[in-house]
Amino acid sequence: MVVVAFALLGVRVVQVQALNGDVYARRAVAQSLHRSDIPADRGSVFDRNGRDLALTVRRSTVYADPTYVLDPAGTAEVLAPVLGVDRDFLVGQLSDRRFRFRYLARTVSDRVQAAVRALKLPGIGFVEEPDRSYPAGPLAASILGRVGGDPPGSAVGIEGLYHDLLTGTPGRIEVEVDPGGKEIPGTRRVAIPARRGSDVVLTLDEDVQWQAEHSLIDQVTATGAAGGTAMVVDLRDGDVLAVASVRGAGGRGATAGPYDRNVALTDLYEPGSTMKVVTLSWALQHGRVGPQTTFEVPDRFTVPGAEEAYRDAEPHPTERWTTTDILRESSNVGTIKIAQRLTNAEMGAAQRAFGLGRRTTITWPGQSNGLLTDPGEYYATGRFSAAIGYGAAVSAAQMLGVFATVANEGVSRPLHLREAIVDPDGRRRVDPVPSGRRVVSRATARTMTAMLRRVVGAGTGACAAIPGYAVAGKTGTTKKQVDGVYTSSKIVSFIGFAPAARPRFATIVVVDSPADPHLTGGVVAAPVWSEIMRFVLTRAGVAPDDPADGQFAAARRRSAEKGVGCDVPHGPALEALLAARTPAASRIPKRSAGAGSTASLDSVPSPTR
Amino acid sequence: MSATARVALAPARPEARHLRVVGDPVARRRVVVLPIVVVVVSAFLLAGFWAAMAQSAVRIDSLERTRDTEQLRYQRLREEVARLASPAAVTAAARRFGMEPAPRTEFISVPRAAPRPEPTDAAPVSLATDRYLRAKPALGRDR
Repeated sequence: MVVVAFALLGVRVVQVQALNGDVYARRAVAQSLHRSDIPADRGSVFDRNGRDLALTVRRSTVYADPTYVLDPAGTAEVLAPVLGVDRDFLVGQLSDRRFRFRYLARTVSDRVQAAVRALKLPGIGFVEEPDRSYPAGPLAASILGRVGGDPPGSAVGIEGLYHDLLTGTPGRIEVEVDPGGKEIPGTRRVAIPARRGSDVVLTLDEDVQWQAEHSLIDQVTATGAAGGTAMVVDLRDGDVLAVASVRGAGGRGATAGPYDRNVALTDLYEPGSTMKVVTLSWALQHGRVGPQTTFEVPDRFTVPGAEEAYRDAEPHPTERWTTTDILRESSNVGTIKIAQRLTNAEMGAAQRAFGLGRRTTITWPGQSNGLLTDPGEYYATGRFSAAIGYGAAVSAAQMLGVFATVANEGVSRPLHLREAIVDPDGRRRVDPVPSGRRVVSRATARTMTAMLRRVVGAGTGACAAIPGYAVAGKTGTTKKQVDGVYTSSKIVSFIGFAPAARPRFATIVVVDSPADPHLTGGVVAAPVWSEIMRFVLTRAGVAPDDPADGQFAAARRRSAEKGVGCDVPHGPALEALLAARTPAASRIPKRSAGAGSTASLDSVPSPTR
Repeated sequence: MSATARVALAPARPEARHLRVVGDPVARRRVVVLPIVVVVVSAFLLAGFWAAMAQSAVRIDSLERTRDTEQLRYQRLREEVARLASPAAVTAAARRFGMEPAPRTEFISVPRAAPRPEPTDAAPVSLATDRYLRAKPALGRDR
């Protein structure tokens, strides 16, 4: 019997150890093996100076083990005000004994965590979770976007565009543990560290971004506008230093954002008189006019085949204006007379040569090509409407590109928003600066620059003048089209560059639907432009090219003659303005122009200025 | 059979069977004790080794926790620095101290430096001028 018993035992031992040894070994390891995933930290987003615009920080999440919670209602009563969470929600979580882990509040602040810990409540614990932080708050929100919204894990803006780069590779750790959960020394240990995501370095300058948003927000608030956008670019390399998108609130305090909409790149508008730079540059380039070519300019003019006359913004007697005067006074009639010296094909070619009708070189989701009328469909008035900025839908970034080309002596200056990628090993891979192409000759660009200086020194853009610097720029004011119909609302803008003698920065400011429809780009957008550029130039330490304030003094005289104030109200001045505003003056913001908003091809537009 | 053959075939004497060569008792004890000592020492060494390993595991665990804590502290401080250095925070702090934005920017014009006279044989070159002239070619180079 004993022999048989030992024989059976021997057979079983052989079966367990030899024949099925691997299987049992695997089961044993599986029972004792503890596997943990190591989450990878998301990469940071930096501005050009290495300042954190977005970073990931681990914060405490408060959870409950309901099996240890003695008094769910009482615990919820105490926790609700500390966590800022609905009491009924907490009661539900704390009473659900089917699970031993229930979230109460995720990624709370250190202060809240300390307060909860001090309560010493049974069954309440903490785990750490990564949380995305934007230290400057809503600054550059429309560029940075956000991560983890709705649906969870989704991302917009830079966070969405470079999501794959920013997201790291999770690691894992496998150890054999004893029944108490302690690692057994000397046993198998597999540790694959998490690889954090790459960092993205933007060309943005946090301070310039703040100034752009600050100036624009206050002006949008002061004018009761529906919104606005501003963009600043360094002409040396096409670096975008700031892109501000602002939402109005009917004159009750505009805000930066929204997170998912970068107005300067995705929204289209009719540029109005700023397009005259394209028309005149092409006419100069092809020798159809010179800066001193004289035209007889009445205040209204009907082109053959048109049903209505084109008009200038303000009535005036018939003048003999040079090309420079026409630009300075932003005369529609004068520009149309110049456009009569161009063909339809040339007008269309001019717009495309300056980069309109195709996406900018900035990588951005949802960026539109813009809408240009085919020259073959200009019919009677299309060329002339195009010449003064109607019948075309462009983005603010595209229009800034036009002026950057003029400032860059006729060579386009492709814009870009990403400066470099820093991989997890710390290697910095700098994005190559895209090269430009010649659009107009150096002589044409210089002539146009000189003409644009007159716009600020003695024309419609007087409020853009900056003490110490000579400025070249152009105003734009267009009627806003909603659902194919022109409304009384206006889109006003100013685009320019400085110092005019050696251009270093170019900026565009567009304000959507100021409450007073009589306000123009020279009154609303130019002061914002001036304030932003004054900051940018002095911050960059750019030497003044007009230390005697010649242009500034002349521009201020012109503003005084016209009775125009050129200051953006801030702080107490803005508060006083808002307090004095009658309720009737405030208005519900209207829809801003979106993609597809464009003029009808044969419409005869209202004056632009 | 000769007498010689008889002697040769004679059996060994019975008293010779009780005699044998015995080993050194000390050496014999060594043979027994030494393996025991080796086993015991090895067991102690092994136990010590395992204890050291366990200690190291605990130490590694502790260091990892310290590292995590310090990383967390670094992240929090970095966030705090970024928050305090943000333009909005700096502006708010400046306003609390009673500072206001400058109404305008003032520029300081520095008069141009007078041209340095060329050294002549008659006038001895000063040490400073000599150093300047030697350094000047390098100053103008593009870098």
